[in-house]
Amino acid sequence: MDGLTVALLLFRAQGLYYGVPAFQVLRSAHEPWDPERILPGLPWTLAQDVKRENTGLFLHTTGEKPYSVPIEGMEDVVDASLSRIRPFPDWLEPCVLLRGVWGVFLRNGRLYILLDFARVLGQKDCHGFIGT
Amino acid sequence: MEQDGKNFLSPDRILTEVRKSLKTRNVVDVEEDQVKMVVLAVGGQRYALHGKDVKEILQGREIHPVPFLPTYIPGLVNVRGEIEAAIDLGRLLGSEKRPHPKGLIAMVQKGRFRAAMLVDEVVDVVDIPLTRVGPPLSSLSGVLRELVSGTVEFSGEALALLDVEKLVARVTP
Repeated sequence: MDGLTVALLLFRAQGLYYGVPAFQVLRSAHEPWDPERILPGLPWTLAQDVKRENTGLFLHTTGEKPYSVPIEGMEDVVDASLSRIRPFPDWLEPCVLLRGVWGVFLRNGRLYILLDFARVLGQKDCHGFIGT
Repeated sequence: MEQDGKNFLSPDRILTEVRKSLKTRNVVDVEEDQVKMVVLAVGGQRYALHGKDVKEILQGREIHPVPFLPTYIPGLVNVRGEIEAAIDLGRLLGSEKRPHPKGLIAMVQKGRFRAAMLVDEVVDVVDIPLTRVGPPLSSLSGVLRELVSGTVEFSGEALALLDVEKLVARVTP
């Protein structure tokens, strides 16, 4: 496992820290929100100020049908060593995996919840999103 | 012996009492099988756990919230670089919403199941004679009834003995 890395895009949403494989994000932009294009199944909701001001920071997912993911702020894009990534405890993993949460990334004492946007969308098959 | 209303024991008397106490304890050791118990306090109540199921006691630490988890799993804790799920025992046992306890963590393990159980206090770790372990009280109700496998007599109190195996069955999806 030593030496293997994965590009992760790190961000904040509703007070928590998240990471997602960078290849699942096409771009980020501060722009008006389109309720039709918000990725369904996210563990957070659209911030009130985004609704109020009608603009916010969004990630745009890759894939045939791109979605918008509202976030509070970008943190970083890092080449994360696999040695810093941990799976969820065995007994908890089935529960969170179904919702698109697949692990945690430890960085500078902070714990980032790792999401898989494809699974969030309900797509069970997401080939090789780690270490490739 | 009594002076100004207080008891003053001579050193000889103290030693006699101590020896008597030790002798009694030795007799118990020889004659009765004992089992190690960890006595915990959560939400003002005391509970017992089998010592073999408690791997270590740790100081409380930051709990990292994770979405989609039930309320009795407030998040994850980092234990020497390993990620463990935190179980709020008070919430699991049906207490109303309360701040996450910042007291102690009892690392419980049963087979492949391992979790950080949040407790207010570790009262004691004691060897209890098996004769002081009885069946669960019939007065138990709710979730507690499902999680208890017996009653332990400790300091004149009947403590509910939590069964980690039942706890695993309860929290495992």
